[in-house]
Amino acid sequence: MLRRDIISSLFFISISILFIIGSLNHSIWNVYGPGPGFFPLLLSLLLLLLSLILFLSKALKPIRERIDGSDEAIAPSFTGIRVVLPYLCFIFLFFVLFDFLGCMISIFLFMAGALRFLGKESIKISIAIPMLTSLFIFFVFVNLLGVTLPEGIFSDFIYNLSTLWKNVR
Amino acid sequence: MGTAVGVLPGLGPVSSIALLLPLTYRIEVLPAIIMLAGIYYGVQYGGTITSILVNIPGEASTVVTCLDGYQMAKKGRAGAALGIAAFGSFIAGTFSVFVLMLLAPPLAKVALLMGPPEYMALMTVGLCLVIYLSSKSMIKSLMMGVLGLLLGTIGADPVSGDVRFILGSPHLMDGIDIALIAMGLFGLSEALTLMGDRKGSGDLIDDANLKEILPSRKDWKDSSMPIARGSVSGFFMGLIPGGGAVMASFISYAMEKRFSPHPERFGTGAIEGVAGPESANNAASIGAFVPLLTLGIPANVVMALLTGAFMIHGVNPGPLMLKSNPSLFWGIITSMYIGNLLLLILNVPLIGLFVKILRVPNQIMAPLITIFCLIGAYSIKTNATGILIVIVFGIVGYLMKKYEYDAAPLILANVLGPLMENSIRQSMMLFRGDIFQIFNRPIALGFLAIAGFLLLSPLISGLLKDKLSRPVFIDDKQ
Repeated sequence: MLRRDIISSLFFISISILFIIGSLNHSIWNVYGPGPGFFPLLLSLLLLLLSLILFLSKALKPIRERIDGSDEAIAPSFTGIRVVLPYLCFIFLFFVLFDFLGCMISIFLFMAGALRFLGKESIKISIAIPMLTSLFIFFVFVNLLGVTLPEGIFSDFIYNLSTLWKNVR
Repeated sequence: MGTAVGVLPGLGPVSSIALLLPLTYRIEVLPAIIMLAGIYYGVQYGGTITSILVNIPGEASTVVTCLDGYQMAKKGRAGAALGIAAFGSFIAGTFSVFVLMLLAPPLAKVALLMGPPEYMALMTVGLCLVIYLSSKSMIKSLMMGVLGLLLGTIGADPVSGDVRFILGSPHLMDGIDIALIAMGLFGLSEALTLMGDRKGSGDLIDDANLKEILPSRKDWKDSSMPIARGSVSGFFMGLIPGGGAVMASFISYAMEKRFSPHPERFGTGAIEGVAGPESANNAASIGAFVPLLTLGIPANVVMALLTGAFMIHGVNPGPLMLKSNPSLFWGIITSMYIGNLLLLILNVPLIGLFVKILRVPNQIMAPLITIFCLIGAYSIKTNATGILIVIVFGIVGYLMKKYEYDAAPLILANVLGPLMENSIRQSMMLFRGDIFQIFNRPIALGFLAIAGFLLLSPLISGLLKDKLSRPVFIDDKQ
């Protein structure tokens, strides 16, 4: 298994190469001095150099030093990843459905799902806390700060319902 | 708000301010900065509560408080520890605001004499100090600093208007908002970590020990000099870019142990071990405002976020702010006096409530933090791109923790990046492309020499250590 620093340095080497390519699409130097590509090119070359230094310093370490444990652990500890990965899926689902379902419903579904299925909380907690959170978010962001949050596909339905209620009253 | 968030272990001042930054977008600049500044020193005290009651530092600058604060709590003196921390913070904070008030105007005048090369060099020193003082590997911190500068180049070039690295997305034309990066790296990544860690709070001290918050006469006698020393040392540590509350608290603890007639008491519940560091960290948090308000250079990551907040409201912090926006400048300073007083008046009676927040399990806290981050992100961009950016940086932040990369240099560099690029390009135009003209600018050269020393000193000391520990053979002596 590769060392964590080798993996991460390879990642940064690729990032710096991408930035170098992007920088070369812009003017590096012109009659007025440094162009828009100058600073990013300088930085990406520096990042490439540092990543290479990190990579070589770890990759060329004598095998004896790697085995005796005098250096850091071979791989990072990912305890809890069995909860974190599904939690990330919940977050992505929230992002995908946010505009479609609207803010309040998305918040409710996200929190209820995370609390019930990942947090193993009771049904009461899994309903009460999301409801209170949705109301709190609405109060702070919409009422107090005037932020327009998406209402989603049910906005017309809710609007019609509130109009009907006003007419009935 | 700051104390309530500071109580939560793992959510330090950076995460707290990152989470609450979007709230300030919709209000005027002065109340926004006052609110963020209040959160900053409120978080310091919130971290103290968990250090003393749970032996888990609420944030990095309160690590040292665990050593004696928790021991005092175990001996039934939690109230005295919390009380002296609150009073010490108030005294140190008031002293620091007073010195800030005296120091800032003349320093702003000196700053006006500096040109683009000097600013570029000073920002380089600030960045190098943060990298140098990073607890993790220096080369990794350097990489993070450079990456932060690179991320700052995304969007429209400030000089020519060319768009760079936007990947075809018009939402990136203005670059990536610092608040989104901070919320992802510190807020969402912390939520992911909490979700994966079910352990929650440590052994919480019984609420019964929270009686008698007011320190006794003996406590005051023992704490007065530590508070005085902590105030002075903390303020000057806060001035140094990269210094800040963490270093201030450690240095204060070491100093108190050194000056104490009974140093063996430290670590067993010595009140000096709480009074000194707590005063120092609050003094440092106010001292850190000096470079920001007078030079326009953030001294640490929190100040970098405040710089972002200033810019969002169209205000450039720096020497010209005192001239062009004196009401903003003095308003911030006045608010610090009031904020410190309120910290004392409100926090001491509310300790019981803040302790209850500690009992909220991680699996409930994590989704709450997540929702706050994501909705805050949406409110900044008013579209879902903000949410996606926070998610990406949240994953990056989580992986950075696992692979032991420090996020602080990245954030600071991201804020300084556009300023540095401007300064470098202006300097090159001034020098007509001849970089050697920097030798005609002694102040800039001096700053660059300091930056070079900071970066090279670990390498030099490593080489010297190797040479000095080389075994001496008999042949060498002959």
